[in-house]
Amino acid sequence: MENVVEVKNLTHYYGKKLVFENFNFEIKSGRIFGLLGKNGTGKTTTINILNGFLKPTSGNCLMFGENSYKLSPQTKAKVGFLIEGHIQYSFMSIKQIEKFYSAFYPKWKKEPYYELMSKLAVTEDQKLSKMSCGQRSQVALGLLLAQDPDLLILDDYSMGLDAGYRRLFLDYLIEYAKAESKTIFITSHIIQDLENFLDDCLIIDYKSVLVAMPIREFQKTFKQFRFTVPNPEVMFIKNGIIKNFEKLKDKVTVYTFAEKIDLVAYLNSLNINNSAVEEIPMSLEDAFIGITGKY
Amino acid sequence: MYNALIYKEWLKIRWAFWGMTLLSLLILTYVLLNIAYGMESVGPKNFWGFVILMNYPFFTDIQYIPVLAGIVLAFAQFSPEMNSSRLKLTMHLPAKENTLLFQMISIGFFLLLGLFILISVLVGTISGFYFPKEVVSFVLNTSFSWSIGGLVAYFLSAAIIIEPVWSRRLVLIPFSLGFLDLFISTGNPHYQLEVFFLFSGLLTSVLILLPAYHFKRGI
Repeated sequence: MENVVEVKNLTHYYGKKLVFENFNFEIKSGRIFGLLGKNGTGKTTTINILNGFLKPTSGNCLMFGENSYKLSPQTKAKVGFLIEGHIQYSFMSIKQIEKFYSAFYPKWKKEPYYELMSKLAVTEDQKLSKMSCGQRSQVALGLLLAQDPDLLILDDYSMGLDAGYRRLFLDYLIEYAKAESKTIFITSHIIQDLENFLDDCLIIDYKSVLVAMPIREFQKTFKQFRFTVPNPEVMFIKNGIIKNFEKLKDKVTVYTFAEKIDLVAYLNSLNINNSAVEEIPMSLEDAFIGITGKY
Repeated sequence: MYNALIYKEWLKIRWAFWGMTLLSLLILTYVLLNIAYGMESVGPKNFWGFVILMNYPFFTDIQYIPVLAGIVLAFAQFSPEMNSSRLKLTMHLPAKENTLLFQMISIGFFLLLGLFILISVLVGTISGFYFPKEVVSFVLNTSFSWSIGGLVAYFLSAAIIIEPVWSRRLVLIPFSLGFLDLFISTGNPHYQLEVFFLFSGLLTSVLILLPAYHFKRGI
């Protein structure tokens, strides 16, 4: 499977502030790839670099084998880009914006666009500026689907959307991606929506990558254990076994990729001999918070 | 593609363009009425005397119209692009970015050119109705430099609006005002100066590449 996106040793600073360092990942053709991270960890920065709207301090970013800062018109035609907040030309109407974009994309298919528009309680002459955030998100999605891109880059598609519009958005995306074997690169703050959507995930924290693996593998191997400690003063550190932990008096929750048997052995090495180590099932959002922390 | 871009730009600037056209026609009507009133009140001979011997500025009401039109059109065209960084949408279109930018400003340029030609034709016709060809020539020469000033105002305003960093805008604004003053305050330039005005004025159109580069590079 060929790589649609390749990010190699990417480092970026805003002034003197380091956003990330030696960032590496790749997105294979036909996969749905989620970039997850807390606010301010560099998700939008990464997307801006990928789309050539920001030159990284160092490193390389390739899209369809081309340097993302100098994408050719042919490559741009293969990439659909949803800007954070579903930004579009709000001075245009539904009809006008379709007419405008159709001139630029050789594979333009207006049917999916008008199919989506027919679900909204709007007229073709209604301006985008007079629509709700949810309606505008559907216009933006419809335009992306009509463009028929090979790669969809969606920067926080869920921003400002209620549960219904988020579901509608993802339903269309799933159908589109699976039916046409398209590649999707998505970021979102609503992690639980992506649980049954992503193929691969990259979870980033401030300046570093925490997880880069298929989502099923992450959900299968990343575990949450709870136990009590006899001495509430006992100190834990994040290391090879414990990826994160929370401690409230004598109740401890640890997050780990280790098996229970290995965790118990590690706890024994800390003189915590507790047989009541209980594994707690996690949703994707629980796992995300588990690995990134609440703060 | 260019037709689609014309369509988009026209949607943004049509009201500003018609508004400036209407304002120009109103001011030209005022100029015409003013001349007619002057002729009526002091007599044609005396009014001619004022105009020819005392340089009575009977048409200076249109002096700032081109500059105003340039600024208004640039604002109407480029401020929606900078609102929520919509310029990213334009730059993501499958075409060369600099070509898209030049096509965008060419649309404003041709609209302004049309408006300024209309103003020049009307002011020339009004002048020609009352005055000899020497006066008409003087009027057209002067309004030529104002028209170039209008185009310069458009190009520089577009560059200032697209510039993403305020401190750089603050540098561009006084430079632009100083440069514009060259075109506005100069009356009746001779031929060589007209050529200089034309070339230096059109040269400012490439300035838009610099803030667009800043926007794209995120600096």
